[in-house]
Amino acid sequence: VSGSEADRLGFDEFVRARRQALLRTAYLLTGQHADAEDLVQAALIKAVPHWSKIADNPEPYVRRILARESVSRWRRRRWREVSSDALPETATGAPDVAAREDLRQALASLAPRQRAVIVLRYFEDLSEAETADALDIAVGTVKSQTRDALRVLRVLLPELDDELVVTVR
Amino acid sequence: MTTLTDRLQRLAQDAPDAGHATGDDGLWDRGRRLQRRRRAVTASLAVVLVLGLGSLTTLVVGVVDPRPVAVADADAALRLPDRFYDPGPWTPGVEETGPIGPLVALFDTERRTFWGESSTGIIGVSSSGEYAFLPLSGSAQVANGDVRDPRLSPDGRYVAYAVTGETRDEPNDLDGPALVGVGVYDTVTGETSEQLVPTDHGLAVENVGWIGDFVVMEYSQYDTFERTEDGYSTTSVDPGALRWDPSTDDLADTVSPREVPDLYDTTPVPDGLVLPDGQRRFSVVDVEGAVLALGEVDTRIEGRFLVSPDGTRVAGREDPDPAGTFGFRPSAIVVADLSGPRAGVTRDVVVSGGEPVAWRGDDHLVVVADDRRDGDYAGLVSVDVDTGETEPLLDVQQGVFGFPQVAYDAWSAPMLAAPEPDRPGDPRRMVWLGGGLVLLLAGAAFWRSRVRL
Repeated sequence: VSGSEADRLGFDEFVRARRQALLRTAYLLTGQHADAEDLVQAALIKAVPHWSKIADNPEPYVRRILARESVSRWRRRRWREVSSDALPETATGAPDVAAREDLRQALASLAPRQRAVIVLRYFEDLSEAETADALDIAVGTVKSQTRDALRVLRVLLPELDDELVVTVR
Repeated sequence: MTTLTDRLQRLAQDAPDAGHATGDDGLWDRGRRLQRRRRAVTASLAVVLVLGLGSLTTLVVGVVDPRPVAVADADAALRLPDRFYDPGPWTPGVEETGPIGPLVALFDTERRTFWGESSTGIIGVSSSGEYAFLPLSGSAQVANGDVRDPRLSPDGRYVAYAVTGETRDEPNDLDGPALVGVGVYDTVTGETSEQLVPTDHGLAVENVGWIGDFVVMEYSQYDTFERTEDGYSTTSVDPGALRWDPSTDDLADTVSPREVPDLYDTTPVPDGLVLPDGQRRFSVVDVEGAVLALGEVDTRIEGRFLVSPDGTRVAGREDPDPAGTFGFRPSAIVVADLSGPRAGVTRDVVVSGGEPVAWRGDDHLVVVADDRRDGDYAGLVSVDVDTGETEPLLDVQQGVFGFPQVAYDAWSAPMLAAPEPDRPGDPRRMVWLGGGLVLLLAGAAFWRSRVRL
């Protein structure tokens, strides 16, 4: 098996193994199924040119692309946003569907970087330094963005007040 | 207790199912295409960078740090090119190339600068066929007749020209900046030296030329110059002459004009001049006016007499209207021996048409083959005066203004299969090209930043 073919096989294996996990993160970052799928595709495509260097441990690199792309894509889309009569696609039927929808809408109300910080810190369980590295911002910015985001979430989701006792690493 | 982390994990369960997601296949290939595009963009940027830096370097080096001037080979043997080319207005000057050595010829042509200025420049042609603009600083470029044209020394080493400059009183600038002396450019060292004549209002320069190694300037002083309501008033007196050997700096200023032959309608011979004396007689004089030889032919010659380098023959163009009746008949080019039983007896070497230009050796005459065709083309032929055999000698590419002034010694020099000069293009194209590519890539980058993968 040639080097290039080996890279391709390794990439395929990674995609098969980790795509669902990536989609979960992407869904939290975007709040939309289609956008989540697009975001994961974009991140995987952008990882290909660097695959030979990251093949041993690709996930951190791919997740870094995912986080940064979610921020930059939202910025790019602002100016070409189109209105639509169709309601956004959401999952339904789960017992706590209302709670999930409330959280999804609350996340959607955050600025993209705030949302990314919340997802990386509280879902991916990254430290402040790791979050800063993933988003290519300063640790101080991570702290301030986290603080601002939590303030918004407390207002939109009052029931979170008591449960926002989190350990800051 | 349910934390934000727990709620995020529950919400993440709503993510689309990877098993049903579209686009499972082809991600690797799309990634490779992206890689190739990035490499192409990187290569393009590198090209733009190189072009931009190259353009900038060309500009900066050309403007700020011209190449050091080297001394050319003084002993470079003259060779007569078989063609004079138009090297184009962007040909470099000797301030960029360094001195190109003794010149075979020089001529006027358009010169352009980076900032778009166009003027008439003087091009020199070296023995190896190299072309370069000459730095005739202070040269009186506003020609009013041939007198202000630069004159090439017989050996091609120096270029003499009338120079402009400061006057003690109001300058007579009716025909351009006032003339104040003569300058000489050394084609070997690249240096320019001047001999200035103190003057109140400037000099009325009659002639600048060479007699052997000496440059001669014949002039009069403007002794008055006043601007009036109707125009101006000026008088010139005190005719004088300046005689200067730039190789030895032997200078005789304000010599009597009687000591210097009138340069009008003269032709050179080694260390002297041939002066017409009427239409049948001529004299050969040296730089101090001493007569070296006299000659006479049996027919009327129109204009100049051409004496062969060894002094044994004379040639000229027969007067086509000797009776002055304004009648027309084709004129011949005639040649006569200057010694022996048939001295002065002319014979036709070219039956009709053409203009004799110079001797090539002692047996061949250089003749303008035809009148300028289409207004800007001329060819020269070499005529064997013993057999009448004619063969092409050289031609001039379109675009050259007038016929090049050829050094006297070059007419008898061996021929050179002249290489075509590089004819450099407009250097601004590189800047426009670089700028255009930068804009193109900036536009592409802007477009790409707005389009998703």
